[in-house]
Amino acid sequence: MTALTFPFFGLFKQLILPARGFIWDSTLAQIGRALTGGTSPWVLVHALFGAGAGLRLLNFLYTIWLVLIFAFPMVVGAFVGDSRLRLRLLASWFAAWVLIGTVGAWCFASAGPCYYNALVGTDASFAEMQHRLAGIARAAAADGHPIETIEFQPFLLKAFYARIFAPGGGISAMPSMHVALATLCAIAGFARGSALGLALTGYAVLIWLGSIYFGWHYMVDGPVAALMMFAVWKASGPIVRPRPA
Amino acid sequence: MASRPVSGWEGLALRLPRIVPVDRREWRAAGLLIACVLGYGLLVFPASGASAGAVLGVFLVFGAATGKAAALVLIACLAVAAGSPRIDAT
Repeated sequence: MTALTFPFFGLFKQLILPARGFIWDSTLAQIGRALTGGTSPWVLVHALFGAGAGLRLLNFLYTIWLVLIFAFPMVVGAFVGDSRLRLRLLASWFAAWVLIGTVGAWCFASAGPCYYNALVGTDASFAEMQHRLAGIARAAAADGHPIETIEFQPFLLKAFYARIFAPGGGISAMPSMHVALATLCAIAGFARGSALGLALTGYAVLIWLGSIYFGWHYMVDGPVAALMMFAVWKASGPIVRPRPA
Repeated sequence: MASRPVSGWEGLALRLPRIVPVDRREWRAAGLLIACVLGYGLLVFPASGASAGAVLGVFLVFGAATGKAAALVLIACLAVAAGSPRIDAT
């Protein structure tokens, strides 16, 4: 499932979605600022996490997300004993890529704060964020601890301009697949026990904050994605319910 | 019925089905899910205009990564099986 879904989703995200244009960025940026009293949400998250241990924690959690999501179908297939729960989790994982990552991304086509000035228009706050992130990345690399999450951003932009189909490429902000699938991990965690569920909920919240910190997503991308994931999860219930004999 | 203690690979093999019980209906559901994934691919591949060569290259990268991840999950699965309570063969 993983080996098929990732390349297919990549085809959509890298080669089909750009034709839609980035039409929602301005609105999403305004909603975020309206919710935080006029300040760009990234300013608050940077103030909360700083440029030291908090930054490294967010970078680590953001980096391991790909490993978690990549292995999710295999781990669920191997370790979830209840066959209906297993099927529901696997179906929800795939449905997330189609309904949230594909249909949702098409409907709310957007690039994200870190690409705003390159692909959408001019925004002084996001330019300042980019300048700050570049400084943080330079300092961290000089320290011998590069921040991979920031260093990856120019690669995606380069691949976008070149229209290269490459593993892990593509630019899309709303809704956040990072938050949607971290939410699915939390749902799976609660099926196992409340402690694991709460820990994975904390993980999903940190992924959301990380997505704002690094400029991948607008503030509203995460909560909307989490709600969509809940909707997918709820809708998957009747599908795996046993048929009456 | 009399039982005999087992150990080593035989014991491991006996414990595995407790972790991954797969019945016939589930194989059918898994097949349906894979068919959905392939259906998604059939929709996006022609619309993307990508060359088959480029897609194959990306498939190989993800295939190799999936293989490595599957090997790690299998090792974890065996470790859990080895650490689970001993079963007597009957």
